[in-house]
Amino acid sequence: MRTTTIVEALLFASDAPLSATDLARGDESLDEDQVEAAVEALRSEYEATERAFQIYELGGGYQILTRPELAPYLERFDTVPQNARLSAPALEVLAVIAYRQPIGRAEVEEIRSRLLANAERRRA
Amino acid sequence: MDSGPSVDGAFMVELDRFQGPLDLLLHLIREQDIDIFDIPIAKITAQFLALLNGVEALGLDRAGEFLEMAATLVRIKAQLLLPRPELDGELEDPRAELVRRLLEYEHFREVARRLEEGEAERVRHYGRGYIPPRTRAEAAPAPLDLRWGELWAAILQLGERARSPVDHHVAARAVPLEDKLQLIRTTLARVPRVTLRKLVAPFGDRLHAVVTLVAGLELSRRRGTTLRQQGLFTELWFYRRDEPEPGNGGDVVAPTTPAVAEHP
Repeated sequence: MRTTTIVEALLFASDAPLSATDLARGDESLDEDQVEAAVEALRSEYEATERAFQIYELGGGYQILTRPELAPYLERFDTVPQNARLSAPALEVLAVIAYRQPIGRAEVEEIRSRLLANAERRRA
Repeated sequence: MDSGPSVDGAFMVELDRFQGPLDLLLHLIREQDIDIFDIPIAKITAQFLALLNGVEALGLDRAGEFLEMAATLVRIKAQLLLPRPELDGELEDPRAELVRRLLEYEHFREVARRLEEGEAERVRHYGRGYIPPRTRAEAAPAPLDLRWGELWAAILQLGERARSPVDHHVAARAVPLEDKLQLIRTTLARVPRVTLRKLVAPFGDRLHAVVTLVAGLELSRRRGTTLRQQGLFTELWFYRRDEPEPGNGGDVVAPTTPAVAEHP
């Protein structure tokens, strides 16, 4: 079996991103370099044949997703699960965590309230 | 406040558009290309207040936040105008705290904006349809199908790595708590007070110091002594207590709140 075919099958069947290490576990003969080469080969193949999907790197791994320019068509369909968006406060919490981690809930709340409600804390 | 604020169209903004007073303040500053480290407080305050006046229908909670900021601005202005006492040399610019908060706010707002961009990009990609999560089948342990030689090789390999680089030999040297309790008691019988340093000095060993401290805490719990300290990292004094020491309190646990001085 060709390496590219094995990698493609794994990416196709998985509903979560798979890292090169994950993919290399698909067969004893595979190593990470081969997997990365296979992903590149698949990418250019999809590009050349104008497939509706492409292999994207996200969440620490590879995943097959549709191309962004197809979003307007897919949005219309109830049978296509729609991606959830985060609320503005949720994004702020995420931003605080991303830059101050590790951080506890109380600390996040404290920074957010300082940012938003602007309670005067430092001066008694 | 000086000449009427120039609340021309450019600054007539919808308050609802803003997350809070910092957001509005930042907007005023950035919109007018004001140096954030040298904010003309009078001008900004006037603009800020003019905007608030234009909005009556703001909920009390929201209005409160904005009014509090307005009050802060006025206070900063007052502090700038008042002569500053030459107390301890350099006094912080009254605006510094506000600037810190503005910059922190701007920073996190920018981060949140980038995350939002990333999210907007991601939602345009669709994965394959929903697959109900399935419980992972518990993998049965693989049967041991190998020769002794292979097992032996594996063990040898493991041995190379598994050998701990450092061997810790922990030999407890006995410094009984009871000895130290007795030491403190006899010392306090002779003198009304003594420092921890003095009690520890003849031994010159960390373990003795630790056990003596624990003994002091224990004795303090049993009301056999009073611990006093002037401040953090200063001498710890053991004082004699005149009340008789009630019997052994049973458990030998250090008190959770030793009589250590408060933070300055």
